[in-house]
Amino acid sequence: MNSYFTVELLIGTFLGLLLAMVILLVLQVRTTNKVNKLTYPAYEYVIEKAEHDAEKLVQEAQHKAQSIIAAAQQAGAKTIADYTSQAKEIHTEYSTALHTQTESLEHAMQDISDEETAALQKVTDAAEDMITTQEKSVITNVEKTNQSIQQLVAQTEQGAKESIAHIEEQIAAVGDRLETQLKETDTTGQELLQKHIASLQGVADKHVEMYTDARIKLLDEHIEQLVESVVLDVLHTQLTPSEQASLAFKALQEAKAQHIL
Amino acid sequence: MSDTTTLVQELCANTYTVGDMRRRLGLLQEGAELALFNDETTDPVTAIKAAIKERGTEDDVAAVTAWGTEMFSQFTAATIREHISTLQKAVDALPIMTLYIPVAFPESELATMSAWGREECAPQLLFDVRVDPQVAGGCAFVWNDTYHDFSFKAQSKKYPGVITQHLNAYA
Repeated sequence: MNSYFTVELLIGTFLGLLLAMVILLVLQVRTTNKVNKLTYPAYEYVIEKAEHDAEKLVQEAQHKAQSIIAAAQQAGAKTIADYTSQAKEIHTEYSTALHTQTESLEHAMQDISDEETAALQKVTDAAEDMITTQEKSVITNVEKTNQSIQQLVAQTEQGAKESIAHIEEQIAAVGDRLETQLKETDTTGQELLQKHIASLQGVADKHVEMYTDARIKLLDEHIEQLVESVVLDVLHTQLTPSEQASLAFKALQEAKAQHIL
Repeated sequence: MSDTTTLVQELCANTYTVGDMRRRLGLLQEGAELALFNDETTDPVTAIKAAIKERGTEDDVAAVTAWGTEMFSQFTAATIREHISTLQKAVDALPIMTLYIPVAFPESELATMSAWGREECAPQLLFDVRVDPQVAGGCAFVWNDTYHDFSFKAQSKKYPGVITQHLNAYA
């Protein structure tokens, strides 16, 4: 009985606590909705303010950037103007110096040219004098040489005439000797020729004899072949088989007589 | 054995060449087989001769039928092949002279030459005849594996100049 009461008490407590929690939860929800409704205008204000501040910051940054760009452009223009003026000054300075040097160089070259021309003229004159002298010397030498050649030609002509006469004499002597030797040779040659012809005649006679024998032999062979063919033809056409058999029998008997069988 | 020898002697009595011998033995075998394997045959010897007469030439029939009754009477249906084989072997063992002749000789001439050959050279000699027109005026033969030419052409070659000498003497 006592324990039954305890269980009921516990169940009642649990249910009471559960109910209290439900009530608390409902209250919490309602409280949250109210807070949201109350705080919404403040949140919107904060956002709009932030946007306004950001736009202002952007505008300021743009103004600042424009001013920096303008300053940079002014500085660049100024620098370019400075460099241009310096370049002009340098150009003028170098042009002046170059002109001065060119003039001095022209003067120097003119002086050198004059000196060289004078020296060349001197050398040319000296060369002309030397050539003239040499020409005269050559002409003199040529005249002397011509005289020597004429003398030499005359001497050579005389020598040649003498040599020709001497050679003619020698040729006549050689001709005489040749004629004599030829006459001797002719006699000997005739004898040799006769001997040679005689020997050739003997060889030719032998050749003719050999040729005749060969021809006769060939002719004999032809005759024998002709006779053989005629005999064979006669044997085949004129003899009867019995007569042929008789000849064959005699041939066998001849073989027996020769002890072949 | 002695019977075979007698039979071979009988075969050689009227057959002188190898060709004739083989042809006639073949004719004998054919006639014997035809007669002996016929059920209607009552007289074998007569039947064999009749069969040979029907198939052989005149010369062959005359030669085969002349071999005598003993030749035909020995054949029976059981022994014919053995006898023929024995005869062929005996014929193959006979001495043979290969004879080259210009034309085919008559049987009588061959008989004369064969008789002379069997007397002078070897008994039961058979000629193996070959026709060669080039051996006219004589003959040629092979004996003991050696060829011998006794034709007119060979003899004229053997004595060169003989013909022209005779012609010169005649001229």
